[in-house]
Amino acid sequence: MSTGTAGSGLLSAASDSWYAAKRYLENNGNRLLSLEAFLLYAFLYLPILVVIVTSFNDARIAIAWRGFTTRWYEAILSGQSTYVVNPDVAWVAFKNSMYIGVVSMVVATVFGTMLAFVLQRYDFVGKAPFTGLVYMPIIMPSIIMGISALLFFRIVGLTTGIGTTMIAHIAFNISYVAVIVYARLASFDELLEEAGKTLGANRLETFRYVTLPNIMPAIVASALLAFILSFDDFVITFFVIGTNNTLPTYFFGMVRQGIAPGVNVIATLIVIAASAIIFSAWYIAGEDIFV
Amino acid sequence: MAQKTEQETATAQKSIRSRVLQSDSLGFVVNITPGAFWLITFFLVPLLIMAYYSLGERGAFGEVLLAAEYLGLQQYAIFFVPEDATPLQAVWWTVGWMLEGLIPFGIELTSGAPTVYVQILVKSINFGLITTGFALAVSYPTAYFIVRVIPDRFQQLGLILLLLPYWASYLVRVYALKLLTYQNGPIFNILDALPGMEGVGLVFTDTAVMLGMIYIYVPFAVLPIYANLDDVDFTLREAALVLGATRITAFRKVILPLTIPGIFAASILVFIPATGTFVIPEILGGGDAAFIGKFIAEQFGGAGNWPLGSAAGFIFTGVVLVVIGLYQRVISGGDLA
Repeated sequence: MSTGTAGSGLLSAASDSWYAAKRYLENNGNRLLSLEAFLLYAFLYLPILVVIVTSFNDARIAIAWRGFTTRWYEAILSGQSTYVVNPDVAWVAFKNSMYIGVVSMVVATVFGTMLAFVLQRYDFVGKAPFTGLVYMPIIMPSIIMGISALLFFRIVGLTTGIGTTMIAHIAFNISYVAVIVYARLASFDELLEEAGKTLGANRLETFRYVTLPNIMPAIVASALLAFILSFDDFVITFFVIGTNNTLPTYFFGMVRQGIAPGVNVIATLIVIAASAIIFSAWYIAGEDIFV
Repeated sequence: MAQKTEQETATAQKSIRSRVLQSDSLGFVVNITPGAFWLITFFLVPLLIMAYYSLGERGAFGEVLLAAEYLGLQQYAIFFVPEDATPLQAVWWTVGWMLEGLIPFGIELTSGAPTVYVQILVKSINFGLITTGFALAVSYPTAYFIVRVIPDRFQQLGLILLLLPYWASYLVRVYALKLLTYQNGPIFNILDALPGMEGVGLVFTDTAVMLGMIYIYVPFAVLPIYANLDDVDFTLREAALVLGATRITAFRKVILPLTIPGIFAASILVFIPATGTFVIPEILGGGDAAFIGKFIAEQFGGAGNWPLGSAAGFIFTGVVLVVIGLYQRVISGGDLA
């Protein structure tokens, strides 16, 4: 093609291969996308898979494979301590996590849904800054929320523990619930409510028989998300839990001490529990959990 | 007569009841009060208290001095101004130091360096930016794959599998990475066999922290991009193709501009937590791994300097908001193509 100097030959070769690459991209878009997506899934799941496999490894310290065993599971499930893992403490931490998760889920779902109504249905003085306040906990770095909550509890004289953790979790969960339910309310046809009222229903009846059934999936989805976020939260909990433990703070303490077979078992159990919660959330609420 | 009054009271009562039920303002007050109370008392007021603490001073025994005579901006000065510098010098040293990092050849612009706190903050933001770029580059094609390539009935499953690590098991995932990057972990066991790689481990290095941030925060970017792409009317793309655009051009000129809001939301969801992370350097980094989130946490733990920690928290939040504001201007004003 190029009859000029070697330099221009190189240049045209480069531009040829550039066009070849472009053409390849043109014609194999879907294949490349699939490959990329596959690599991402592998990247995300391989490390977790290694933890699960390692939890069946018959070795005390070494991470290298020394054969299959279920003895770590047997020990932990029968309540024996192994290395840094004390199953009794883990069990208490798990119960605390469930307790905090359920309470903060219930309170935040009710209050958050009410806020969603306020933001969607009413115009009031200061609505813009108030909307900002509702969104802020989602964006605020959790470490800032954690330490500010700690300082607040210190100043008002509340001893940090399960209760203060619930309060802090409700604060950020209200925002998540409000945003999710708001999205559903915004896409909900208000003419249905008008129809209800025209047919003689009062406000409460309209809400009970028209609005609520329509936004229920979003409420359920946001409740489940609130539970998951509370159950999995570490940073905020770390600052306001005091001397108690939730599952994440307990796990953090173990991981800090190093790698031990029992840790892998607890990690595997956490992954199974979290997956079960999320898959049942998906099963119950369907695509509304993706809001 | 008596019957009539009874009727009247009944109507009056009914009208009170219906007036209450019809009243707009009552519903408003009832609905807004609990949520507003909670957010103001347990979110906004704590931030104000933190602001107050950031003006205080640390006493000789780690106690916090908050009396009027101690209040001032001294913590902010400690953060920004090196000990032997004037504020003006501090500005120049900081700007010069950041420019030195950007230009090659190791040209020295300034005689001084900014405070160690500023250096930590800049480093954390760098790590946050790299993570965000990486997350967008990896998540966008994957979100596109979920919306356009895989069959409809597997779409939700594909999404759930990405959201699973986003919503849950945050600490387990950090731990998994620690296990993998450990010196005698599976990866380095294999690498060990190679010449020159004996005894190499990643854990307790900044590289491990970088890897950890990418691993943890990549899935955060998927959901907003997916939601945005899912709403895009892809017949627009067909139109572009019919009118002679190549697939790449159609994507660049039609689809990509329509997904700017999703990209922006995804960036925020990754950038803020990645920059402020304290768990990842704590578990994957070395004992002296300096990141702003870890630094702030330490002020409330072992270092015991609550005022400095509070001030650093506000500076961090402020700088992050500035970065996001600049980014928003670029992404909404600039022509991406």
